[in-house]
Amino acid sequence: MAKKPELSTNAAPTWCPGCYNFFILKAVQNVLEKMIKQGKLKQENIVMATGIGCHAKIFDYLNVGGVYSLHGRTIAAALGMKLGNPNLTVFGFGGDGDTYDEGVSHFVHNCRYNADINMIVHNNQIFALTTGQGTATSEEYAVTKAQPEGLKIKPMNPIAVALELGATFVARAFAGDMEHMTKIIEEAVKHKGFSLIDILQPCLIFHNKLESMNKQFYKLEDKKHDFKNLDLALKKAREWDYEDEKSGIPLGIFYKVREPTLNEKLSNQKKLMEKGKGWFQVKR
Amino acid sequence: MKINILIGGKAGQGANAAAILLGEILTEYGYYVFNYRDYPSLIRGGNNFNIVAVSNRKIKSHDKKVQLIVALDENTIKEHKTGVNKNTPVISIKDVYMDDKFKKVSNVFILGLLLKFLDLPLDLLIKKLEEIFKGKKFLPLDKEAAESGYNADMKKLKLTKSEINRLDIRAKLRKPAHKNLRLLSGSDAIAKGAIKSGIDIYLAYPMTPATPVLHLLAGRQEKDNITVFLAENEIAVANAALGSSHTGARTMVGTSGGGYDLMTEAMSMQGISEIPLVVYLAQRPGPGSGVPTYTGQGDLNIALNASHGEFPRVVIAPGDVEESIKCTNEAFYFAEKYRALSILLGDKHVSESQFTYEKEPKLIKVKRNIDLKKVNGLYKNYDFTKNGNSKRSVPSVNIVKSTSYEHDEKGITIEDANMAKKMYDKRLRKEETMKKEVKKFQTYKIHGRKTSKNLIVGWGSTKGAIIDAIHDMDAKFLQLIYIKPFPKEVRKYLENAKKVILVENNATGLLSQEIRKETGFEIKDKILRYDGRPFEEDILREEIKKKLI
Repeated sequence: MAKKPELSTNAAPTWCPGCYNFFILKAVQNVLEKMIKQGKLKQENIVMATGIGCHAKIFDYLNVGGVYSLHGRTIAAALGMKLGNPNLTVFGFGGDGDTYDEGVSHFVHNCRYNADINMIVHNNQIFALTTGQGTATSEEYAVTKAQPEGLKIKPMNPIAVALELGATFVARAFAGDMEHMTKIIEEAVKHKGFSLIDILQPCLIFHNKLESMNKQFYKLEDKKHDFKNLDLALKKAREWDYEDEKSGIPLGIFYKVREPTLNEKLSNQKKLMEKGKGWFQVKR
Repeated sequence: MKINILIGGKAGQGANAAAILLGEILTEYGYYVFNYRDYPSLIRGGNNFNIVAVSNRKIKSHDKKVQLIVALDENTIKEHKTGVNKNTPVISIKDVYMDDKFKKVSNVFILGLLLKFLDLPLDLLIKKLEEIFKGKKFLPLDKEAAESGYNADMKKLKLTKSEINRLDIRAKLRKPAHKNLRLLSGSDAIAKGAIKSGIDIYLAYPMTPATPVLHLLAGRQEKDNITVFLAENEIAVANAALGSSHTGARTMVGTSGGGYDLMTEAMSMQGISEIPLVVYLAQRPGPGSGVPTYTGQGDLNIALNASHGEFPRVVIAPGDVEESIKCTNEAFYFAEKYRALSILLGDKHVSESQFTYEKEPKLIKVKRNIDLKKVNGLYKNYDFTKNGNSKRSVPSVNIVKSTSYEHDEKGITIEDANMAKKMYDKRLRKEETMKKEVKKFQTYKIHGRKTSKNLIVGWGSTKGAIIDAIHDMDAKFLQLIYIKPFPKEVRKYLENAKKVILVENNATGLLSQEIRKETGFEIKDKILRYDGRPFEEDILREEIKKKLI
């Protein structure tokens, strides 16, 4: 067994005290620590891409390499790293504004590409670092400084979108349930293919629906959900529309299927995987 | 002596294919050829044409006045037998009997006819067809069409004896003596330069006139062991390129002005993250969607300046195929050595024209500038070095953080004023180091009569027409190749000339503005063209003569 890896940097976190981002960071560190100790991952082979927003500060705190990308461009940068060296374990960290607004084209198409990327969305249903404007997953009735009469626009359901677009691992977690969230992240890392984990994360300052949400959460595995069945997954995905305060909010893995990844399908990428090399090791 | 043959027809009739075949045959026969391609933005119909210019002298341009029109349809005659070409003889497919079975290969049929007409052996065409279409189902029909065209009844052509005599290339041009000549497009050359420089990944979204490089490299993936990926848009392309290059893959992207605009935020991120990147920016006329399948030099300013913040970059503008190979190579060299943004500034006229290619330019070996030594903890990705250039390492060797935020030496976000300035200064020092290194390269060239007091100034694709236009004039030509870092020493040529004339394919003389900014010298005489068309040798010669009087 490998020794305990150092997964924190020396950077002092600037998240608000008590922010749920701390929990997401911890959950990721837990998974990485476990898998590194088991010899399943190597710390220097793990990379992450982040966007811009509160979520992205994780780049400075998590002691792995990668690219602190531009707002919305997490998945594009992650895909680039995976094409540059298909043997890396690639994480994407995005916010809801980042992934579902600014960078939605990359989200849509990467669900189709199925490159082996673990995409973690810190979904607090608000633009937080810009002091609280409505995003694609904010409620129609949410009143913000930029939308004083309410958004007047129905939220997007990223779980349903990802399922329809062919993502091969689709899950939802709650940032307040460390054990469950950690388990889902671990499953996503083990999964080969594009994984979306939409993590519901209350924003203590601008969007906190913890009280109602706590009553709505239930776990798919408790209901013996069959994650191999796409129709059932879609049915479960549609159960909550990201604004209803009465319906149940399913947490867990909606769908998981092993299909060839993008790198496995591109012949030269496959060769690199077989040789365990990145392009930088190819002699020219 | 230069003979220009215009071949035109509807899109889909294969005028371009016929022109390429003719160009290759003439090149391999030993003539110098320049093949200009003109086509509107449509897939079937319209009027596509090429002008194949052929000569015994090293030409790199075509003329407005052509000596023969080869028409695959009536419209070609209507469109082109006007103006300076009012009296130009025409070979029209309508004037010869052609069996119906050759309808889909009428371009090959007429090429056979043309060869007979030019008194060149049919064998040249047959061999060329066999070489290009080896194993293809339609090869026998093509060969039959070529033969049938060669043996077609010429009497029915509406041409006089003197017109026919006027066109005998072999009588007009001295016997060709040149060996090992090949025909190459600017796009071929960019792709070749990229492969010779060890490209690993090419990312793009289709956009004319950068698309041919995408197609060429995509077709070479297996042979040259590279990955080509068409991503969902240019924003994805540019950001994925940074991701890929972060892992050590030698990465290049290609686009035109509109796509480059979408990429500019990522270019700015390149500046701060110092992830090596080569960008091929192939210009076409703007603003907006402009005249998409035509040419222009209106994007100089975005190549030089677009993107927020201040950071070093290299902008190199090749003017023909040899330079396209060489400049691509140098673009990779600077990107890799200085973790820089290298912009290769081309345009439709270089990328889609074919030039006679004589010999490969001398290229630099582009080394992978990657630190493979394992360190403890976070790698110092932004080490404060004296020359501003920091070593880089890659994931799987070290823990390396590349970032779009201002950062410390290890890539951790900072907002502290001292550190922010210190890191900015590091990048500015790197710019100074790059400026010194650039001096080792040919950043500009002087063509023509070196002692002349008449100086023509230009860059990029106007090179061919300018050199050809002044070949028998008392003039020399200053060609800028590096626009950034700018070779300020060209000031002496500007100041020592009696007459300085700018030639540019844009409306406001963008290069002259840059020259003024960099050297203080103001060029007053300008020949500008911005109708989407390139300069022709004959028209440009007259324009220059007018200015020199």
